[in-house]
Parts: sequence; structure tokens; C-alpha cells
Amino acid sequence: MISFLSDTIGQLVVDSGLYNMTLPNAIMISISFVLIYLAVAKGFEPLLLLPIAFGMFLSNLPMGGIFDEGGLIYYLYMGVKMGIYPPLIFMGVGAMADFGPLIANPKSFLLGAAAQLGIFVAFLGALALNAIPGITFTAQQAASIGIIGGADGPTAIYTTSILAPELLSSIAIAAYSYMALVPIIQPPIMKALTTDRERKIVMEQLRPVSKTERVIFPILVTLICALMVPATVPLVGMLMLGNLLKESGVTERLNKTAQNELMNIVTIFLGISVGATARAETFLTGQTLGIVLMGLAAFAFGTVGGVLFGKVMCRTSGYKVNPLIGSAGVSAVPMAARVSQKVGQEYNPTNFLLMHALGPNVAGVIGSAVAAGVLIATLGPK
Amino acid sequence: MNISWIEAFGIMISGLLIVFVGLIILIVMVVLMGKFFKTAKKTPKQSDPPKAATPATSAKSAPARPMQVQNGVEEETVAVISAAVACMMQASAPHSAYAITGIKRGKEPRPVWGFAGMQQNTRPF
Repeated sequence: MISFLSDTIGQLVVDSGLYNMTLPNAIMISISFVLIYLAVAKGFEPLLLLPIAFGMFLSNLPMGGIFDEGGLIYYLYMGVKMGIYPPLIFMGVGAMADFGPLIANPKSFLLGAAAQLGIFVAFLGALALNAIPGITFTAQQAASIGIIGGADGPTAIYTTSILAPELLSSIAIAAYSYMALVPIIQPPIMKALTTDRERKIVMEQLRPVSKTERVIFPILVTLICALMVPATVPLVGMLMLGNLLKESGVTERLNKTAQNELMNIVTIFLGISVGATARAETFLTGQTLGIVLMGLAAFAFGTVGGVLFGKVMCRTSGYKVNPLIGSAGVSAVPMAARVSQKVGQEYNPTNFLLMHALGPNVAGVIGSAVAAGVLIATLGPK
Repeated sequence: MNISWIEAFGIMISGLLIVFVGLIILIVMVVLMGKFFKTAKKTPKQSDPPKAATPATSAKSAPARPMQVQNGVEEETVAVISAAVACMMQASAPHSAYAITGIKRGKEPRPVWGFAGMQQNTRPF
């Protein structure tokens, strides 16, 4: 009896998580606690960072098996692996987006395109890091790192799940962390690249946009993007479907579901699945440090690209365009537009740049999806 | 898959080029769409300009009536309502002449919960 009891208790101890805890597990669990703190206490993109952090926590608990074959998150992860969740989230984004400022001032598309410079600079930067011993990025991995510069979580996750799924957790965490840091990263760059006169420019009021234009716009964008780069169909198509559900005015129930219940459900599944991929063996490497550095470079150069193109538009239009709205071309909607508004108001308190900045902001969402399509078409599996 | 620096720069340049070209095509299409709907909106009114001019002229020639403001409505409220009407008219009928003749409080609205209940029960399926 006593030997049976001691064998049973001994077996339970040997099978316990505490007994099987390793140093890498403990480090990953600590990192997940830091991310939970950032999400809850500091408000760093909590809607995604919190599920990601908790997924990381659950996956690194020893003997839990939640991400092993047969585990709960193993099946939830199928939505990421098969590229289902990010387009569904994009549908919700489209349902919440207002393309009115973009339709009223289509030149904003150029600022959205220019801000994608960060993606390609980070792509080259990641390849350059191969010169450092211990860091080796393939072209696909470099492209996935570069897409962080699109400042678009679903785009980054979708592209990485196709090109470099082994880096998914690092790239997702870097992308969402830097998106939360946009109000800190962008203003110094915006101020360094613009003059006092440029920052104070007050732009003309935007023209009113009719409902017919708002309904035709998503169909037009999907058609053009799909005919040019077919790989954009999942992301741009779902983005525009969501927007059409809103703008048509005849699918209010579907619009509300896309914006709320569906988006929330998919966000939870996506976040927890992506977080669960953050295992010690893939996360605690020199590559993760490279991803963090290049992620920052991607955001910085995206801002540089947008602001510099904004300066070009400012000069060619005779000082009618405020270059500060160029920084909103990184597609962190609507945070980047708010940053343009805030910096503009520092120099001219009566200046309201928000609506003007929303044009490049939503154009950046389309631009980053097109850039992702190009990278997938060029470097993806054939 | 590892690539050479030439291939990497090629991807960068072609990627940026495709993004710009695609979005420039979208700019052209959106501008054309805007011009088309502006023209389509103006066409039915081409037969009306003489009539449209008359009310505006008569409005200008008629002596302006003072705006009737209900007791208890503050000056700031009148200013805000006037600004809101001006924005709305600018958006929906930018070339029309109008005048605000009076501002008064509306009837007491239905209680919010009652309104929500009515909406819930009468919303088409």
C-alpha cells in the first residue's frame, strides 16, 4: 500500500509541470508576463497583444501540450496556417474604415504608397544582417520582417504565415508592439524632416463624397488590385467586402457582425494561436533581436518615405499639402492619423489635419496589402 | 531561398514600382469617377438655371426677416445650430440660397428605452 502510494505520488511529481520546467520555459513565461503587463497596464494594442501574450504563456507551460498535435491551440492555429483569420480581420477593418477622405482627395494614395518604403528598406536590412555571425535570414524571412513596416497586423501575420511561419510569433509581437509605439517613433522623424512653415500649412476642406462613389470605390479597388497582383485578392478583397457591407446601407446586420462579433472571435483565435507559436527554441535566438531591430527600421523608414513624399507634394502643389500627413501613410489606422493631427496642432493650434491624414492612412492599408501581394507573388511558394 | 543583392534590389524596385503604379491607376479611376458623378449630378439642373437664379435674386431683393428665436435658447446654441446648418447646406446643396427663419425646441422625444424597444420590434427581418 505504502509503496503503491509512493509510486503514484512519485509519478505525479515526475509528470508535473514544475518538475519538467526548464530555464528556456521560465524565460518565455517571464516574457509573456511582461507583454501582459504592457497590454493591460500600458495599453499596448491590448486587443491583440493580450491574447498573444497569454497564448505564449500557455504554450510554454511544461507538459501542457496545448500546442502539440491534438491540443486545443493546434486546431485553432489551422486558421492562421491556412490564411483564414487575417482576411477575416481585414473584413472587420474594412467595415470600420471610412474611405471618404481618400475618395475626396485621391492624391493621398501616393502618400500611402510612399510610406511602404519601410517594408523594402527593412527587407534589405534583414538581408544585410546576414553578415553578423549567428543571424541568417532567407529572402522569405527578410520579406516577412520587412512587412512589419506596413504597420498592419493582419497583413504581417498573413504574409509571414505564407513566407516564414517559423518567425510568426516574433514578427507578430514586434509588429503590434511597434504599432503601439507609433506616437513615440513618428513625431521626432516628422519634426526633423519638415520646416516650421510646412508644419503650419492649413489644407483646404475636402469635397463631399456621394454614397454612390462610396459604394463603387471598394468594387473598383478590388478589381484593379486583383487584376494587377492576384495575390492581393484575399486581403484587399475581404477589406473591400467589409467596406461595401457598411457603405451599401442594405446589410446593416452583416456590417455590425463583421465589425463586432466576427472580428472579436477571430481576434481571440488569431492572437492566442500566434502567441502559442512563441516557443523558446524559435523565440530565444539572435534572429529575434534582428527582427526587433529591423521592425524599428521598417517603421522609421516608412515614416521617412511618407513625409518626404509629402514634402514633394507640398512643393509641387504650391504649399497646399501639409507634409505631416505623409507620416499617416503607415497603415496604423487611426493612430498614425492622430499623430499627424497632434504634431500639426503643436505648431498651429487651429489646424485640423485629422480628416486629411485619414486619406493616406487608409491608403496605406491598401498599399501595404499590395506590397504584401508583391512579396508573396515574388518569393512565395509556386 | 537565398538571393543575391542584385535580385534583392530588383525585388525592392519592382515592388515599389508596382505599388505606385497600382495606386496611380486607382487615383485616375477615382478622379474619373468623381468627375463622372459631378457631371451626372449637374446635367438635370442645366434646364433649371434661369429658375434657380430667380429665387436667389428674389431672396436677395426681399428684405431679410429677423430670425425668430424661442425664449430660453442661448446665443451660443443659435451660433452652433447656424454653423451646423451651414455645413449641411454646403455639403448637400452648395449653390442654393437659404435663410434660417427661426429656432425653437422640438417636441419631447420618446424615452430612449421605449424607442429602442420600438426599433427592435419593427426592424425588418
